[in-house]
Amino acid sequence: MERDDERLPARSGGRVVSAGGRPDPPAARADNERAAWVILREIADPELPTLSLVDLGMIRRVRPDGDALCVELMPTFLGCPALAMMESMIEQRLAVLGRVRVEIVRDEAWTTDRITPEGRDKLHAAGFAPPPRGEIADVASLAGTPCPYCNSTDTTLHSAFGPTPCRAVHYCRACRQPFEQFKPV
Amino acid sequence: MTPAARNALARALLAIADDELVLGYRNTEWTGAAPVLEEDVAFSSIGQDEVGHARLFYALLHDLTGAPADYRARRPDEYCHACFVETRTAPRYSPEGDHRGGSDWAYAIVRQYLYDLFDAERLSALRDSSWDALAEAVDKVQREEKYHLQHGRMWLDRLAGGGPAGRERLEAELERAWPHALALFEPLDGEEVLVAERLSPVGARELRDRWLERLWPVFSAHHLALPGARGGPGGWNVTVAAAEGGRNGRHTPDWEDLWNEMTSVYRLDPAAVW
Repeated sequence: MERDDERLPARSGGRVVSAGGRPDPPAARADNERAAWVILREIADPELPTLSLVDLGMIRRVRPDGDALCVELMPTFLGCPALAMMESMIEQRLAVLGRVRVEIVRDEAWTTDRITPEGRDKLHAAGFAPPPRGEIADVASLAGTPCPYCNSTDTTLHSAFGPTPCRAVHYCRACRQPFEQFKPV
Repeated sequence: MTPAARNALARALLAIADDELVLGYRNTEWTGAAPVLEEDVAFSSIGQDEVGHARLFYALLHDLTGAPADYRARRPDEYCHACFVETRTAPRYSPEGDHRGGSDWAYAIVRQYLYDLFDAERLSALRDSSWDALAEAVDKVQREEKYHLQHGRMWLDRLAGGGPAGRERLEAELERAWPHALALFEPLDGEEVLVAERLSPVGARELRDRWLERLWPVFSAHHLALPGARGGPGGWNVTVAAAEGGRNGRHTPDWEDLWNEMTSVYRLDPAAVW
């Protein structure tokens, strides 16, 4: 999958300085955007704190917006109560770079396919089964999801609804543990 | 977009948002009161999703008209959800200990399934809206709604195919639900404009027939009656009168109670910033 942050220009090494000795505005802006991505990688999801907003693929783009920086944030689930908290965390943490505006993306759906490979690894390490790739036709097809603890597929879907809107609850018959899954959307 | 089309679309968006908000609120009342723990969680989660969808449609409405996005600053008769979604189904908390009064789990299941199937058809029509912002936003909602619809179907199958007690309850509640479920399709003012300009390209009557077409195989498999029969080619003759009014702000006493509750904090100080 194409990652938005990889679309940013590669670091050129050293700041571009214009003839007048002042930083060239386009280069300064690119530096600012790169710095924003570095900070965003450190902002944890409030409900899955081992993953960052970037791991979850929630940041679509960082772009200049007049004299401000606009961060395009994609909600994982529309009813996610942590959304307002994430907005204010982004505004606070990026404030060192100047004026920041968070825009909630509505013209494109966040899907679980946007979770990065690192994000999937971190989910697994935190005891969550990662979602299957692609859209599922039938919720029942989630049965047999590999257990994140023992990797057995002798598991059942206990409920498609869990402690947060983004999680389903499974049960592993092999290690007799309930476990949660980030459910595919 | 002509002013007439914009007005009609604003009305349609408000109807969707109000449906989702009110049903979402009613669903969350099952938290701690459903027959099993998993259903406490499921209904709470579904309710949370619906309120999120309402928030999205209110935001689209704001983009369209510039009207204040705060949905609470309205009188009860300014809400245009269908009355079907406003009926309380969860038990009322009673300090005396009889928490089961008014509880109606079978009706909650019937309503959720009939509503979600309606919503699925409505959303799939809006996916083709000529207003791109709406068509694009709906994709996200559809991905979440899939879980709701399959949850409702699972319970319908369970009640229809289980023992006689569940089956009888289901049949009785369906009978009671039909006039209200059919009123989900109460036409909105300006529907002709919305269809002609493909802003909301499927009219209420056509939507209702699509809904019945989707219910038909499910209900046939369970030998459950529908409130009508297939008429001419593709059409339906519906034999139950729809209990309309909600889309025009005429609601039931249950709505008065809910409106009082859900706006009570807001009304304490409408100018407060949260």
